[in-house]
Amino acid sequence: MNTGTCVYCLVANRTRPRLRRSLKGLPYGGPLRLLDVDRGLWLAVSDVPLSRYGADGLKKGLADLDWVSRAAVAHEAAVESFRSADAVLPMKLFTIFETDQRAVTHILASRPAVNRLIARVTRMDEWGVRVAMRRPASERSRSRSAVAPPASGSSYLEGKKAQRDRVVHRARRARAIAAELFDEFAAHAAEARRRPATELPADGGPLVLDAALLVPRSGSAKLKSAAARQARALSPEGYAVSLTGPWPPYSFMQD
Amino acid sequence: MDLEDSSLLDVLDHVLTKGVMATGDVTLGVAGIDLIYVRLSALLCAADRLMPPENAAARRTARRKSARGRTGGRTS
Repeated sequence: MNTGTCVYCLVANRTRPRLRRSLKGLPYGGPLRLLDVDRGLWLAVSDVPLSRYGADGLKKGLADLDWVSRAAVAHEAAVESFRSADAVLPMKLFTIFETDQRAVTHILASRPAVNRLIARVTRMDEWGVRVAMRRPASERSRSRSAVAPPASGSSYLEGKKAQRDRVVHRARRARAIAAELFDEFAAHAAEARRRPATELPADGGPLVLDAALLVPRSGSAKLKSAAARQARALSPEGYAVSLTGPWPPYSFMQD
Repeated sequence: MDLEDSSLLDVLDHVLTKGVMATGDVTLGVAGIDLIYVRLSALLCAADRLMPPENAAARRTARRKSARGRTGGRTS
């Protein structure tokens, strides 16, 4: 068999979801289809050529970020097409089985875990919240003007100490703001997960908070206005608050 | 890939590192995935991911709408 069954997500709904006829999964694959798993439960899949998406094809493709990106966007589009369903459990990219039957059997074998995940995310959306520290305007102008040579050795050292103190103070303030904002936004969510500081990109760089929130669909408007309010309040101090979403609940699929 | 499109980085971050861990029949080479993660981190450092909430929503909508206009489906 030269095709595999690529799985995009599990869909739980009272009635069978409607498929948009034009919707495809991965590039060069077939149209999106639904496999019956159980009453009210379907797997969204498509046939994909193993020449491109088998072990060797993936190994080659993973070295090319553009190739991966095209697949990722197609995968995300397929998952998002089920956003109005009661619950969607998105799969990782490139979850591929040899046959439809093997995909269904695998899900049936994990039924207790699947049921827990469905209960967790029914009628919820994921939202991402980030806070980044920008250099405040006062800092920028100060460093530009500090070009004149110091009058003496001791005033040079004093200047250096003052600069270090400002950096320490700013870091402390940033951590406090991140914690405060996380608590405020988490209050809107059934669950909230925060990426640890060690995993944030650019160590010592601008990103101070990166969190995922699992929010009831009915609560999204309040979350959005809370984020907009905080963005306005913190912008003069040099913090950028941003909200992305709604996402399928990728971040809440693993314990 | 358009480095200015930080929503694409978000998509990659979600679909590569999160989602249900189902063990498919096709095994991904660990080295290949690590390579992608390393390059993704580098791009995350470089790209300006932050934008005000209103703009983020508008950009995602604009991307979706323009993609639909071009091909009738989502493409990168």
